[in-house]
Amino acid sequence: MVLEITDECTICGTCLEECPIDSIEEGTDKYIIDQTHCTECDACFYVCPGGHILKIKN
Amino acid sequence: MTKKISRLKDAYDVVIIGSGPAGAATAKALTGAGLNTIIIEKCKLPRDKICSGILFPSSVQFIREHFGEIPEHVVCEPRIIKGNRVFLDLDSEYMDMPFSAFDQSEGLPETGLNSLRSEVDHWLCNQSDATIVDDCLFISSRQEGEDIKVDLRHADTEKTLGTRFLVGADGPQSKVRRSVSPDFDKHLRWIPVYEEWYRGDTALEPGYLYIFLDRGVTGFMATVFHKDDQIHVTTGVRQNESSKAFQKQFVAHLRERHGLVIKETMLTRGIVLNDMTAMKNYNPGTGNVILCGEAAGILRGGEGITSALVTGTAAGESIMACLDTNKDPAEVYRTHKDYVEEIQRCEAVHATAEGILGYNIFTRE
Repeated sequence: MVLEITDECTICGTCLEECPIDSIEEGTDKYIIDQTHCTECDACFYVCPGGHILKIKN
Repeated sequence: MTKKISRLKDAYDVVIIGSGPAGAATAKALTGAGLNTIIIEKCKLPRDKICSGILFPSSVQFIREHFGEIPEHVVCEPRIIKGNRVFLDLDSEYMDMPFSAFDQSEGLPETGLNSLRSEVDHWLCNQSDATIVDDCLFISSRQEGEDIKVDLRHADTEKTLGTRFLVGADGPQSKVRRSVSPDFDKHLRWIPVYEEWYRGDTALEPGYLYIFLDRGVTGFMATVFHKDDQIHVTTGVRQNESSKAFQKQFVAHLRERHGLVIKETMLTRGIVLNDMTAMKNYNPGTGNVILCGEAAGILRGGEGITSALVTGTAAGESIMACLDTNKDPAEVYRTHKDYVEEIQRCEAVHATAEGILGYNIFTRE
């Protein structure tokens, strides 16, 4: 499983504040999850107010 | 009883965030007191969580005394866990560390019980008379006069509950803690942990919790344990390291030295722990907001279930002691005999581990 932020991201910053290990970065038009450091703790998945973070089977 | 958010009342006497052992124990301690108690869980229930699921002897004893006999449906194979086996480095044989090395309390069983967290946590919660709401996110809380307002969200529905007492039983990344102590988390060091479940084989004998401490391959600490027909491998690292990269190295070591054969990866997931317990940096909450279990930073080395049960019960008892009084609930809790003794036990476990290993695994470089 990997977590990915969709193109619907509104750059609200909720996930950025939630990740305790700073594994979410600001991209040009959406935030991006650093897959090397993400542990799949799902914290961002639960807090995204728009449901724009998906769990994808790898 | 599980309810939907739209059907909730506007006010409860006690709101508990988190449906793990800490939240369940708080609710259980309030059972029969005539209080309207609600447990809020962010996941859908029953929910699993990253954890060995091994009920250490102290947890088994506590659950039997406070919740009754542990039912069969929460137990998995191998049922009995005989203790820990610790590999200090890659070349040495393991060192047996029985549960009794860390806890010699009277009447404790010698062995642990292998449980499914999804089942045991749900069963514990259902032993109280609290209302349970799942798939519901705690957003924040604020004091308004004598009331606490608790903001919740389920899908597109938002709801604010009023309550007299709020209990944060929501784990190491506690949102309740962040809500009442906004600056507290800024000073914590975080421990990313990654886990994979495999169908396959290994030469490691089932019935033990295997702990690997080699800094080069495991980062911080890695574990291997059996759950039914699966092998669970978990790797924890330092804050700036990649738990997935270390997991790869560790799995390569398991293949080479411990006969690990992976036929299929069934699940991957993670969690982020912190150094509160190692740094004795506890947070019992403030005023009418009480934190327990890992939200308060209380666990016995790597074993958090007993601490969650003990401090959750102390939280419930502290609330009971503050009904119809002007006492400060968090202060009553912080000085509760069981809370104080649990911290002493946690620190004794850390000291014992450091004595055996010759170093503190949290602070070694």
